[in-house]
Amino acid sequence: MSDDEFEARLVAARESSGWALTALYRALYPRIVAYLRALEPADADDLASDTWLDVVRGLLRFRGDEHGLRAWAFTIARRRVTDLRRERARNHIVPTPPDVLAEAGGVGDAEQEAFASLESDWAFALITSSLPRDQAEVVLLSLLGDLSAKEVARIVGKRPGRVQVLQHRALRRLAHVLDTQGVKR
Amino acid sequence: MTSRNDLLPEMRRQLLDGDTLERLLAGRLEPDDAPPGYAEVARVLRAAAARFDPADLGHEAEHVAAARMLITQRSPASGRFDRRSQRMRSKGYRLKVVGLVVLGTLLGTSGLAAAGVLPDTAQDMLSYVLDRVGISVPWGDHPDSSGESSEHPSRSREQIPEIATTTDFTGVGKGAEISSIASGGMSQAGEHGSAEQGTAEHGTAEHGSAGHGSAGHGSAEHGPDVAPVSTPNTGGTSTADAASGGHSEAGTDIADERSNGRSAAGSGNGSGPPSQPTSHGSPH
Repeated sequence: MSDDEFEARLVAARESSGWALTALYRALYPRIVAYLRALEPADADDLASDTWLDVVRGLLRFRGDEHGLRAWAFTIARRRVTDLRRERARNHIVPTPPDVLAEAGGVGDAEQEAFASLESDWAFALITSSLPRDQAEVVLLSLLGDLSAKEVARIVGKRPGRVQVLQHRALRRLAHVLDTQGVKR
Repeated sequence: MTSRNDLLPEMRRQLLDGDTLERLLAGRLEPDDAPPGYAEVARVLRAAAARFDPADLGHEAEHVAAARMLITQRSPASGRFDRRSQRMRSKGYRLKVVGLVVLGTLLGTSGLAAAGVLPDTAQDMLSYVLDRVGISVPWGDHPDSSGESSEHPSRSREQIPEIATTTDFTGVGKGAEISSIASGGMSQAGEHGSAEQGTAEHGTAEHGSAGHGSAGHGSAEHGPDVAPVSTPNTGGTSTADAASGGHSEAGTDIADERSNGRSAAGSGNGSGPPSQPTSHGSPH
């Protein structure tokens, strides 16, 4: 999408246009919910909804292009995650992992199990389970947000060089897991 | 010679340049184009980047509707109205309005009470309440219940010297007027004790001499309006005093005092023959 097209969509969205908001939603929401699902599986949907509404609230003051909007949306999403974790720490809440719930028969159904077998889910599971949290986060932000190391650095509050180091380590670790431990789909 | 593929995978992995790293992380690098040792990584990352779960858009309609509502509420055009309506709806705003109304009512009512222009009942009630908190405001007037206006006695007593020194009234009439004013209207002195009547009915005009005021009804022959003292007697003063609860005599004294004795002089004139309207009202 060209910058002009994006600008027209943004202007229409600010005027509460349904088509423009739908387009923005489809461009942002699946990426954000995937990112949040990797970080906080149990609360991903709630966090994604809050993030979307925060994005909408800030549309009037947003200045930038499509890439900037995506980076900004991920920034909001990450702040939501941070807030959630702080709240948990205050209230001493330990979230139950979704796989535990699935084993207990809480969420499993035929359709979901079919989705779980898809390659993308397997790939996500590999990333989140085999990488440390900070490495997984910078990989997912780059992957889902299509963001540069500089943009990721701004979101996670680290220097770009530090983010690149984390990304390198993450890819080497993934490759190591895939090669030496025989992890195959 | 060892070929490149004979090296351990760990050794074959080279440091990625910035562009390759970004393409790999964005899922845009084909496995076949990946650097040695990263083909599987490229495949995993492409799969992850292609992740799209239709269920993630299952709440699209609700989310878009919520977004539209948010934007409508926050748009500059509607911002002023929303802020105003919220302010008007807020509990604090309503409390302020109620407080101001109550305060205004209190101040207004207190001001009216201080001016003494409220209805008697309200004036009395507010006087009582404000008196409890140390604020003095006038009490209400009750002419009906007390039988006299609160202003009447003082005003009347001020008139006594004037009445006593004029010749508008003479004889019994002057005494009756002064007695009536002094007693707050309770005395009926002179009504039946004029010189003429006194002469005809009670023998002498002295019985109804003005200044002392005769008991208006004079004798038992007048039916139920019986004087509280036996009549005729030598002093209408006693009758007037008894009828007025002592105000008559006090009024006489006041009249004398304020008129420098001219009231008594007037009374003396009233005691004389009715056919001699002398200069009883003139001083000295």
